[in-house]
Amino acid sequence: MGVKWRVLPHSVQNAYLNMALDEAILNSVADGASPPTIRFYGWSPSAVSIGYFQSISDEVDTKYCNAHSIDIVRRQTGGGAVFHQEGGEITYSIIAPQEMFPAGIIDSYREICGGIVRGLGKLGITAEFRPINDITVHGRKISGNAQTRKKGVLLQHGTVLYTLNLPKMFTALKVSVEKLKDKSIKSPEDRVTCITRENPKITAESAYKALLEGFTDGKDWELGAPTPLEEAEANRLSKNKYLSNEWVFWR
Amino acid sequence: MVTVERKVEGGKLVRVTAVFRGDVLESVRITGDFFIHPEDYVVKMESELAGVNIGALEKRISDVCASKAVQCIGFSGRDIYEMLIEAYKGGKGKWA
Repeated sequence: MGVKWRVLPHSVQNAYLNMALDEAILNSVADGASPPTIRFYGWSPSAVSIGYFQSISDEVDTKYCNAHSIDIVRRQTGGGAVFHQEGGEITYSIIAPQEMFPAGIIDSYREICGGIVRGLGKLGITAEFRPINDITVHGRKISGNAQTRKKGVLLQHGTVLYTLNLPKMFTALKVSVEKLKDKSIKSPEDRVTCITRENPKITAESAYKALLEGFTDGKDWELGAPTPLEEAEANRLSKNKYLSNEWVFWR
Repeated sequence: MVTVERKVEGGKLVRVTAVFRGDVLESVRITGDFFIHPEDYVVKMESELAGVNIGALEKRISDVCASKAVQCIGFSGRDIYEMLIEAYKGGKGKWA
């Protein structure tokens, strides 16, 4: 009998609890107390998450974020800054022993991102994995993903854009001139897309259902909930780590 | 203090902020949207490079990045070296 995955259905939390819950689940999987887990979540209020190695002052307009009640959180994963619009995206995390995935980082991105590509395909949207860690539709980014491996456990989380508020996104985030130089297509509208732009008739519920199917395809799984220990650990990490200035302003 | 920024072709954005005292790299901070596995290794990289003379930087970076304990995704040790040389020159260093 194969491994049975736990699926945590879509729920909405603030940025600090979202990141803390991912870490709490990673710790629980590492301890053998929780099964491999696929989690879906959203953000309330809207938030900016920055990569582990990024500098807040380089990436985020903190005054704008503070004025518009946009939380700022540092992830435990590398990668770039992301604007998480409330109700505007479906975020997922996959947390499982790393031996369940290819050893190569890019290969494991490709395998896990395959769930998103399959899910979007079920919605009639042809997407492709674009190394290192993006998924694109007609060359436009629709999903960004980031991965860490700790204590023998692989955690990958990422977003799939459902709707877009480009003015807010590109005001909250500072875009590097160097980074823009590398893009063949320069306007923000031509660099990113979202599910409703590809097909306005797709509801958030059907998008979530398709992604759930994409990720669970071929897996033995059941719906579950965070354990009381995971919830307690998440609350502790949220307060003591992710909300702390020491962590947020580490760089 | 000099900051040099590079979008690595086919890779990630890396910023190197360096302080040189004469020909010695006093301190360096590496930031950006890249990946290092394990993540904590970035602090080790920065501390391993601090105090190194400009003439010895290339080998030290090569050694640090060649460790089997680390995987750099989206940039290479060569990128860091070239950016540090640029920072050194920007700080009016004598490297020719």
